[in-house]
Amino acid sequence: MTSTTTSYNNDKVVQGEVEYPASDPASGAFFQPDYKKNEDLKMMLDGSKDSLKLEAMKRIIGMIAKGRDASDLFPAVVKNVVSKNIEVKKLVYVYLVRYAEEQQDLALLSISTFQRALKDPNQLIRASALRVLSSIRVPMIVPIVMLAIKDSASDMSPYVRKTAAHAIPKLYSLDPDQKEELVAIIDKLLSDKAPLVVGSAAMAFTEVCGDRMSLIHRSYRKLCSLLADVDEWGQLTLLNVLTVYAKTHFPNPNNDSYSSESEKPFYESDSSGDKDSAPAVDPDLRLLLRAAKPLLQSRNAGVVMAVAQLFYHCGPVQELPPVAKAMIRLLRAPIEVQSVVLNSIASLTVTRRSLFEPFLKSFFVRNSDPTHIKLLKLEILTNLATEASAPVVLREYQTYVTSNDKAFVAATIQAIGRLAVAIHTETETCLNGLLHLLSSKDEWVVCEAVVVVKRVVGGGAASARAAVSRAAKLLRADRLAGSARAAAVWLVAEHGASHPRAAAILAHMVAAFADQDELVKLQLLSLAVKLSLTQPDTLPMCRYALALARYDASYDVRDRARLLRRFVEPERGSQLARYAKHIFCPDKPKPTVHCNYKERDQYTVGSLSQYIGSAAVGYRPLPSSPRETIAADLRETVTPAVAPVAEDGQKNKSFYSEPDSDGSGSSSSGSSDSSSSEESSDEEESNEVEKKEEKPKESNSYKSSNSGTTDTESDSESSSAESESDNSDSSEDDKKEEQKETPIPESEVKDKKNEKSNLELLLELDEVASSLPTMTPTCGGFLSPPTVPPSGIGDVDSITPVGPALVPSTQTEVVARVTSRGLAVSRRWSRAPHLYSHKMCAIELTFTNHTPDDIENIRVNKKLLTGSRAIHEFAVIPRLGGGASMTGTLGVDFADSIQPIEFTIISSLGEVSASITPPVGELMRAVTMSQTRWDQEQKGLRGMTECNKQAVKLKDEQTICKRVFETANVAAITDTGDFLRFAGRMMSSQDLVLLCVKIEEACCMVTANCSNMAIASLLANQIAQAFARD
Amino acid sequence: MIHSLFIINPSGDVFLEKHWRSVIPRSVCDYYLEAQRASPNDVPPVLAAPHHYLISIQRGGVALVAVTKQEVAPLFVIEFLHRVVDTFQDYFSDCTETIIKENYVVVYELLDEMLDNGFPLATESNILKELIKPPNILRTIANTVTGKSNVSSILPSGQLSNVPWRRSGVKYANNEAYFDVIEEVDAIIDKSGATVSAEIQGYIDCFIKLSGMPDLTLTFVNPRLFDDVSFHPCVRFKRWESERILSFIPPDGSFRLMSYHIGSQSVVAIPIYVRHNLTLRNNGDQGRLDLTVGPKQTMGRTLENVALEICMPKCVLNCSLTANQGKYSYDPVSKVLLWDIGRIDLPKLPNIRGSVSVASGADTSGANPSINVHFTIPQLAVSGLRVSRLDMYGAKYKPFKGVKYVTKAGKFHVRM
Repeated sequence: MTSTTTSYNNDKVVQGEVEYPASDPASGAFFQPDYKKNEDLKMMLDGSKDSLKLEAMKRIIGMIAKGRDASDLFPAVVKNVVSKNIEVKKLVYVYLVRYAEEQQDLALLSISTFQRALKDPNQLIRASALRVLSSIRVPMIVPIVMLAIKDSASDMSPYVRKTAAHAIPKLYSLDPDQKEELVAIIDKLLSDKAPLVVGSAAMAFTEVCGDRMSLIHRSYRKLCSLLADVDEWGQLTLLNVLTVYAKTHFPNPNNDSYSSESEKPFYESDSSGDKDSAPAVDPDLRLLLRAAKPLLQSRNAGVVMAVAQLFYHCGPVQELPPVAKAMIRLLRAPIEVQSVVLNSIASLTVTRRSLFEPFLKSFFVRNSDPTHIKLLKLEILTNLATEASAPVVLREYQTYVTSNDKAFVAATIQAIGRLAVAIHTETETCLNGLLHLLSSKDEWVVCEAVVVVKRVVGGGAASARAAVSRAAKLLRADRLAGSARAAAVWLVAEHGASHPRAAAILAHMVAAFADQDELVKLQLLSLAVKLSLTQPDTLPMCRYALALARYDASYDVRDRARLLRRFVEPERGSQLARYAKHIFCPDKPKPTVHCNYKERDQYTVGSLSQYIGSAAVGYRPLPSSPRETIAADLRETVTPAVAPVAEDGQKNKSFYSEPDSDGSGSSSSGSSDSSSSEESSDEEESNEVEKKEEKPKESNSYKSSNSGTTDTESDSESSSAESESDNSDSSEDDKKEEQKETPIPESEVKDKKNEKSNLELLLELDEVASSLPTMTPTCGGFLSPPTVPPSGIGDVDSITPVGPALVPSTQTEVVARVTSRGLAVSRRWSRAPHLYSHKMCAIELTFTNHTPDDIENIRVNKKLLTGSRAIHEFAVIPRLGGGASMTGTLGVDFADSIQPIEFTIISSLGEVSASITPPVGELMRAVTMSQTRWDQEQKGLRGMTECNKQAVKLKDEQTICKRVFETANVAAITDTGDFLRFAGRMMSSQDLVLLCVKIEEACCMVTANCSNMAIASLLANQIAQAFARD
Repeated sequence: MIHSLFIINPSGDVFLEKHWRSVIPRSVCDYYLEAQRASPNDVPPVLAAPHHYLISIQRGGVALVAVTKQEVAPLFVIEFLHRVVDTFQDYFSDCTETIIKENYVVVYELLDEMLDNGFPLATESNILKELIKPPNILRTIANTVTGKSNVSSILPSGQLSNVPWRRSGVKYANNEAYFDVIEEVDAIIDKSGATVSAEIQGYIDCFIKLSGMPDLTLTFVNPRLFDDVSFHPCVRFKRWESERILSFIPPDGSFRLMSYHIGSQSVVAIPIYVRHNLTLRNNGDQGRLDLTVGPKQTMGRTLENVALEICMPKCVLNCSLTANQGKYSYDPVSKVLLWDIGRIDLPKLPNIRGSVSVASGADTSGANPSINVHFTIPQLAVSGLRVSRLDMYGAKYKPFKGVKYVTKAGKFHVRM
């Protein structure tokens, strides 16, 4: 292959530039060049010099770029994933993504590096770690990627969140089972406020769950207002999503015959309550159209096309002209863009001719256009031609038929034919032109022309006779090629059967019967029989022709002759002759002239399917419009920050004020304010408008509270809105879960809303209550968030937090009295959730004053925290008497890591540093669930997230439980039998931790499952150690 | 979205491939190559292979073929591929096979940064240039000495700001802003010299070297002229709609600020005429050709770089002509007669005449050759567009400003 030789040459050039390490022994000529080279590379990669590593990586990337296999270098390359040099690192990433799928085991070595990088303070490093981690297509790491995506989706940096959105389809394609969880993340990202994120979220939405339109309801208006700020690729995707949404949820504005209505501010009509004069365009649809319209001026042809698609499929017809204008502008773009745009225009002109009529001249063909562009333009010209413009178009066609391009000429002749049929005033002119072409010297043109004439005349045109006599003249002159001649004969037979010259032609042709083509012979036989029916005096000639055909070389001709003879020479009892006239001269229906682009109309404008004319893989046809607006209330009431009851005062807090203040929003133009008033929050807005607004709002809030009891979907939406505004930490699926567990009466929720500050306190108390064994966790289910996706399990199967089975009483010294000159601090794990945040462990610190004097003002001073860790300080102890002791509760969010946290305690004695290392068992909280649920959950956490450990056999179950409870804050699911199950939940990530102890002959098997691998293995180890302790 | 990208040279070799998802064997390009072999200049941009869809563009002698497995907006991919080539041109000043091969590491890094999982990540040239520094000799030497790399370790600030197209911390000793107003005349002139259709396609290209975050406004004398416009994302559309002025914070370096279209509805001045006379069958096998070119409606400016390109009918074997100005050449294979005239200085009108030899017995009746005309007119915008002023806010220094007008022939076509 030539490519290998060229690429090899190129390699050599690179090789020349490389300085080899001095110790390179592989300079002998004995080795094969390829083998030698890879050895070189390995050596360079193993070395310590960054410049050599970089050089090696560059060469490897070169190999990949050329498509050559570099997989044997995997071990050498993967080591360098920890390289400090950012360029080396980047190239290693590229390599890893390319080959990880083939070398799964080795690829796992790199995972921990990425996990660490995910916590890096530099957002670019976090983002690129996530990018690579999610691009490594190794099924084993699915849980890790899932976790990483979840974390990154709530990252501070919008860039990282964008990367998380990108990672979602990657994970989905790796493991489609994760869909539900991913959908929850998509939902979250769609409601993101950063334009950077929204575009990518829309992309993830299309790739993973493009049909789940219910996710859009909540953020629809925000998406519309952000549209202008999103980057162009995001705009394109977002427009596609919103087009489908608009098509599914809004009635077709063209069904009503309101032409001027659409421009009317619709709140007037709304408040008047007059249903009959409802606006033709739904306000929400109007919002979208208004946001999309400026994008017609985008420099990106794809965006322009996406807007065109939206307006064509969902917009009112009277707003289409600007769209057409923008599409015409695209015709100056590169050939490829032209081709796609012309293709769309070609199918648009079938239904919406008037749209492009003013631009007729833009479609005139230039000689320099490539053939397929010429054909498209021709198609459009033909579609656009009207009675008025037909002469201009025909004149153009006249030039085209003399082109050098054969395919184009043929298409032009066809087009003239179509024009002749479509426009009756021009039929005559067209036919004349076509017949003129019949006498062209170019045989090819003639053939095409005859075929087209045949079609036009078949339509029963008035000038059939003229056509026949022209054809007759040609036949006599013997100037036609085979197929053209056959067509001419057919023409005479079909339309000139009663023409006096037909017989003369027959005579002329039959004279040279033997020399004719087979096709012509067959047509001649038909002509002869027809003539014998219409002009009986030609019967002898017909017999003569049949006789000639009987001895023809071709059996087709002989067969035909035998068949036709029956009509001419009636035998006894034959019925055929009687029906001969019906058979040969029936009234034929007019041929329909079809447009090549008619079928393409069924596909979405500008889609790949429309271009290729058949449904592509993954093509989703646009649904048909509903008869009336769907789910209007869902778009309105669920806006998170607008409290439905406290309407008047809350107005300025409206959710949409934020995108508006970015300067993007649609509300900057005066007219749009009044129309899209739900979200416009401008204070300058006149009171009048405000009043009008209230009316629909009230009704909406009423609707939502109503639907809370009846409609399940809107119930979930509204309740989710509640919890989101209250507790932003809980994720989407929690809410659904909660809803199943404890449906809360709407009124109660509303009461809570009104006193939000109190509520916050209340919520936390609820949570505490839930984990205290003495209290029944009825209300606790509402906010303590279980993270398991709903899977159709009833109330019985839910996961509920419970109090600790055992509260350890052991005190451990944190600060020795010696180091702090007399103040001793010891800690105890209280295993109760901290009041400040449910992510925090509460640690009871006991301060003991060993000095005779008072110690004053004991408090936490410095906190050394990394990542998302947090400390909530204990209350300052103002005074601690000599010899006395006091306790304080410290809240620590360890972020599910057993790294020690360090802080300093300052007092009147001075500052002393303290450090607390949490045992893994304290990073979780006990939860309980049914045994079947446990088994089910465990099944989902197999593979890398499972860790087994062999342990000493203990004498009975009770001892085992005791040891387990001492080590970890878990709850027993089954505490008897040979298989003991325990469950807990991580404090910070809310990952489920499942632990089981299997009692076997000689030992116990401890198995821990947790989506955080590290936790699982640590826990299993510690439990096993606890068993061994005596 | 885009699964893989292959870059193919004119001889049909895949010399670069990049996969964003699972690897697709390069044999998939055979469908493209087959179509290319069938008609080299007429490959449809979208091809359907059994399991894949190939979307391709051809630029700079190389073809970029993107492979996708499912429905995607074709313009999405096409626009992106053009953006890729634009970026390459921006980085390496051209996009040819040799240049890509020389810089494949940077190319690979760029492609990796521009697309994530087949979806565009960063395509703004200002952002990319901060992430991956364009190669130049000085920097290469500096990097070898200091051990720095061409790859940035911090996220470009533009990525997060609301002006993602502009990099931050720009500083110049000389602050300059240049605007080129380029207008291209597209026209079809028929046999008799009448205008069949004429349009103007205009661009405003900028080269901006301004420190800080300048906020510019460009005002036109006659903004009502435009039929249809498209803008760089930096232009504030609202102000254009209400006041018809261009208000923007420009990207750093050169970029296309706006392009506009003046359609066939308005009257377009045709600055050139071609008088032609071609008789193919005169006596014997010799035909005659006589061409004269002259200025028309040029508003006092001179026509420069005039060149005529005539696609002769198939039957023409050769030409022997004499031109009173410029040079001509005839390619008997492609049947293209090229007459490079240069500048037209009145009162002398360039003329070319002579005989053409026609294949004996060939049919000459239906052939209608056509002329593609090229010309430039400096210091003139043929539509009459004029920039009235450029104001700058948000920076204290006084920039040097310049506006240049030029009119060119776009697809200027004369039928014979």
